[in-house]
Amino acid sequence: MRVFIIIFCLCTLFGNYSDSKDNIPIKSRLLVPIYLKYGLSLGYDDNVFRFSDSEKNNDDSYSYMGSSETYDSSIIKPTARVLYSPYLFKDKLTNFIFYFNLSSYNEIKDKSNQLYSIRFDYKVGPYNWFKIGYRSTKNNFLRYYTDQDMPGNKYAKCSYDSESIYFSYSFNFNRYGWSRIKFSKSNQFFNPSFTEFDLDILRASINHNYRYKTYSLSITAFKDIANNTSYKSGLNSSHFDRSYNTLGVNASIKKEMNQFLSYIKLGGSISERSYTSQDSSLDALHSKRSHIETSFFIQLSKKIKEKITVDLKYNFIYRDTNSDLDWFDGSFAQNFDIDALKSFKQNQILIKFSYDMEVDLFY
Amino acid sequence: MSQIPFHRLVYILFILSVLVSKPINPIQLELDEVLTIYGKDRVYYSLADSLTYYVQGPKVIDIHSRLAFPGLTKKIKPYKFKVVIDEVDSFIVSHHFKKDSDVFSRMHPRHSHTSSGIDVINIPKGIHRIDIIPLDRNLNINVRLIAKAFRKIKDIENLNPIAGNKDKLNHKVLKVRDKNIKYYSLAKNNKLFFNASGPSVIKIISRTTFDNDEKRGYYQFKIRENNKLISTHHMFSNISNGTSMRKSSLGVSQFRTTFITLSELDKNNEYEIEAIYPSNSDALFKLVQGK
Repeated sequence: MRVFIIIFCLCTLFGNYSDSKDNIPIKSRLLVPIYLKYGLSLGYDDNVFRFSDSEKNNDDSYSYMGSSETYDSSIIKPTARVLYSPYLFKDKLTNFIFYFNLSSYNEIKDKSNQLYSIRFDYKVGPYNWFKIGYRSTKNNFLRYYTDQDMPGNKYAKCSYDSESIYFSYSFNFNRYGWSRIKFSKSNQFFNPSFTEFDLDILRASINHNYRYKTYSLSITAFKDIANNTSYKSGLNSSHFDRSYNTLGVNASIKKEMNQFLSYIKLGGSISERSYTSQDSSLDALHSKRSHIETSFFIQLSKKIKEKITVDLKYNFIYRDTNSDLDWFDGSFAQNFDIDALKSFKQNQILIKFSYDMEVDLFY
Repeated sequence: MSQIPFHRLVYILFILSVLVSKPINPIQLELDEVLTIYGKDRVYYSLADSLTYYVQGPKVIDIHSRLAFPGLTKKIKPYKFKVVIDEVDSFIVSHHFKKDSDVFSRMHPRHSHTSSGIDVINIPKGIHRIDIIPLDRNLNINVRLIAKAFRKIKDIENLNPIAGNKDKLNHKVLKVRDKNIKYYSLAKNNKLFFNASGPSVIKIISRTTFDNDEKRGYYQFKIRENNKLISTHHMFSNISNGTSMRKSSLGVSQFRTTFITLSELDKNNEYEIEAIYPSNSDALFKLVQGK
């Protein structure tokens, strides 16, 4: 937040106010319309715990589902977006965008979480933007795991809070479309039972967008380097390095329609994550492990009224885990094939109602 | 002898006519709003509250209006306001325009403005009061009034318009004292078309008709130039005692005049006059072109 306050003050102080068009009172520059977008998503997730097929069919799985009785859940997700665009520079658009959402999983209370973000945009030219943003999420619940630092192998809730800062710059290639490069740095702070998983993640991505008639194409390649910051921090469980690298690509195609639907969008992604540690004696679950995650989505959007939009989105994720090892679970005193244990399928469907409004209080 | 000196005279008259057009201010001076339009500053007044103007007639008053709205608005709303003349005559202005990207407000950056609606009223001799009253205070409308003097034109030639719907243009003969004058008659939403080139001035003489014992009436018509609306004209006129319509018992109003000034750049423009109001009687038009 301090970064954004500094940006705002610098822009206000050093904006180019030299010519007559910029001879604008500071009050007029700041008291501008505000654009609000409210959303409400209703949906269903068939595998919130990301259970493998073997776990779904195993009654013992209920012992690490906390108070939940099912591994699927309905979802209610209200969202709010505020766009504030003060006139800070002559003929240059500057936006501050605040976003908040609250995901509530009715059957799995542990999964409910919040996200908020703030972003500053500076428009250099057409399709040529500089953006910097901060994003924070609370209570990203994974599932219940045994806490290896405590005796008794009892299950404890595993969740993390995350914060990330990022910046991006987009370039206009005119008839060849536009591209964006983006760098982000994230921290994941796990709850006290699982601090050995704390991560510092650097991500670089490059994206290109191209428009042909009513079709918009987008393709993104990204690379994550996740560093296990609590490695060898003193706890027994921290003697194993849980760092990993991910390489992935995602793509989408969108067709604008002026018929019953406003647009239809199809997309998918594929990524490979490999854990760097090879020492299977300390943590067989993560050593020499990698997985390939593929996803697919389809989104249909319809404008009901000028300010009301409905989006229907279906998302499918499949993770295929590769490991040569078996994992011995002390709770059940049995060996598990890690490939079968950590591979999963997940289906999610959401219908989202959005309402746009303008607040022009200061005219 | 060439026509060059004559042309110069026309240009001077044209420039003078522009110079004698001057904005007039309401008594609510604090509601001013400076808009930069195509790089030039123009003082408008905000219709946040009613605006009251006092005008010394005879004058032609152009009421320029623009709707201001948040720059990222996806759908621009229509707007309305009421014009009251001398606390007696009134009409409602109703417009719905597209965004004009060449308008900027220093007082309200991040707002956009519509194209300008131009509503024209004729103000007779004497001091007259014009009130402009907002009808929806949630809309931000800016207005600017320009007063122009009536003009005298010479070298007059009649213009021969054609009907819009390929029909023969209906005409009426008015007996004005001892003269018979031909007028074109338009019912509501009917149009007449004509072509004209500059530099010149087109004078539109208009009247309305009365089918009962009315003594005063309001009529409205629009003028388009090359299919683009340039002005909406609102006329109030009393019945003319010395004028009658041949082969008709309808009453006829006193005439009102409207001018369209064409510069040397206006070559073979197509003009359209559309009768808008009232629905139950015809408007009558006579067109002449002069210098």
